[in-house]
Amino acid sequence: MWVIRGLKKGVLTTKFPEEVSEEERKMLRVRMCPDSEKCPLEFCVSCPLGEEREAEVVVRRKIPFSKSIHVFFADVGSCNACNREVEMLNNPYYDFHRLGIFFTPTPRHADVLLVSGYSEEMVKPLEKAYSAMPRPKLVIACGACAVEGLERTNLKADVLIPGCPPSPLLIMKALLLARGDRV
Amino acid sequence: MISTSVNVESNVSGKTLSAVFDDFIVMIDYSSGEVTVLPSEEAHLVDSRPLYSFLTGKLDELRLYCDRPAFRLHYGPLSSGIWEAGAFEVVSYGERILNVVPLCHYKRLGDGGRELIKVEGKEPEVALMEVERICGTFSASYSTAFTMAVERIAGVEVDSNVKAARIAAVELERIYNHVHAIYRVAVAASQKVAVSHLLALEEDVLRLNFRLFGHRYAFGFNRIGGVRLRDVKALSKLDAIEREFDELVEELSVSKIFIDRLHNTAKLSAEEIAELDAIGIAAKGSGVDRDVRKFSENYPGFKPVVKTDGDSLARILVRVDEVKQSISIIRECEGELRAGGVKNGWDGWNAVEGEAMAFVESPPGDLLMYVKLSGGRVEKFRVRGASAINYLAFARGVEGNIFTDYPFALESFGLSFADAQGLL
Repeated sequence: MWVIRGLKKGVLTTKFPEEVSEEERKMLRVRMCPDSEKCPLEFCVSCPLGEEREAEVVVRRKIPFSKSIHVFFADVGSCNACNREVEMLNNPYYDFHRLGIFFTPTPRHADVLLVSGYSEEMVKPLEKAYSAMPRPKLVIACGACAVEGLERTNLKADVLIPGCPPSPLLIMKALLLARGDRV
Repeated sequence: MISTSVNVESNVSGKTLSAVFDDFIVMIDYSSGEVTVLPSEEAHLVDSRPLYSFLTGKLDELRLYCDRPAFRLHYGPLSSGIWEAGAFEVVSYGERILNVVPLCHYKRLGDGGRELIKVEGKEPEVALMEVERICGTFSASYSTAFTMAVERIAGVEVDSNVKAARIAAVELERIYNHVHAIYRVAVAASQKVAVSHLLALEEDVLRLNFRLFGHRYAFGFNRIGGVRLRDVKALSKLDAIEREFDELVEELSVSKIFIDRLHNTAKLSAEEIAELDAIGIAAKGSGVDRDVRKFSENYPGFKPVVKTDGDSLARILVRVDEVKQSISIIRECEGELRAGGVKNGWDGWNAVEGEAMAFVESPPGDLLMYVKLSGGRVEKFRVRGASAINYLAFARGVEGNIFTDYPFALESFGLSFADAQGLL
């Protein structure tokens, strides 16, 4: 009966990055402070104090090939919301496998280290995971905590994704940009 | 939800250990809702309980030292199968699990841990933004507990439509987290098609959250004395969500492969629940109705869902019934929300001083929060998440099972390391 259910539901998958619907456009926006120096928090979050604007993914370095990429996800002390959004990439609305992006359960097979959160206790395991990755390798900071937290480690983030948490669509956009795709 | 001012007494018989903080201990009587606070000097009254050892970090008392050769594995952090920063110490001969000790310190708050989250010393409105980021997937429960405690200190009674909006947020959070727990169990059982349907359903609930609160996880929705609401009409999506959920559960329940993996896995008896002071889903799956909503005036006539088998299947069935129950609770609030006039905050907290405690039933169990305000700022903040207690229940439940049962046991409890706060 699962097959009939699937057929009845039809195709849910987004046409992103070729097309962006109005609902998806909202998911690519984040709240950012107009003046981060006056922010009472330690790090920039998508808080109600901020203004909504188009999220800007910072790309400092790209993967030097545009084939499929394997991602090792490392939660190093997040509130679990980023984890959930990364997990949501698997759902039929996003289905990121269709773009040639895959999760891998070990850093030894990974091209990209996708980091969320920050806890000092996790710095050593994170650095160990990074050293286990083959070259060329890329570090992506996923969300406000990781953007701020990676600054406190020996690893330098190559791609920064804003948002608290960034939406699955924004994470997908960042992964495509890291691969050198035009989005 | 119950909210209580702090009182002290030393009668602990028949009461459940709820939290152990550096300077006080909290007990709760789940038959009457009575909360007891003990000074830490009275710790001898409860220090023989396994939960006391777990919360105070005396893990050696929970470890098993075998006289036969056995492996002691460190499973996590950053290991396959554990999606969060956390770990387990597992003792096994090779297949059967003899002993598990959860290691929850990787996500603890404070110096040396998650330093970016600081609640103490901040104004309540700013502290609220930090509080809802302690555990993002249970953020509506966290922010509701915090606002309730601050409002209790200030002596502010919020409007009924604010209460209704908070109930809707907490119940929606329960729905998507319960769907997520069922999805995780389906992943473990390799039910690939069901997994896609369940994830799509979770996405539907998160999108409903976004339309209703302006954020997929309801960050920024709660304010002291009020709430922010966007599009109340979005709640009309609930009908489709309920229909879809019912159909998916029906399909899954006829899958023998799925049911067999859950049946008799990680079984906990009602006696073990009492011994471990377990709460929420773990208790309700073993026939013990520990749910703080039954003491709350916001949930009149509330009856917790209870199943008696005590295994992973019972816990999943509790979730299935709770999703339906949550949908009907939200429907009852809908009229109140549509009436409009939701208050948009209150800023009189600068002048208030005092302390209060609040309980909210988060998806895995009750959440306890203690707040002390002084000079317009949070002077002291303590929190005990449900996962801090139920990780111990999971560890006991999975003992005697084999390694392939591990994900079915773990995911049926629906815990989060970010929620495992309140360990010393």
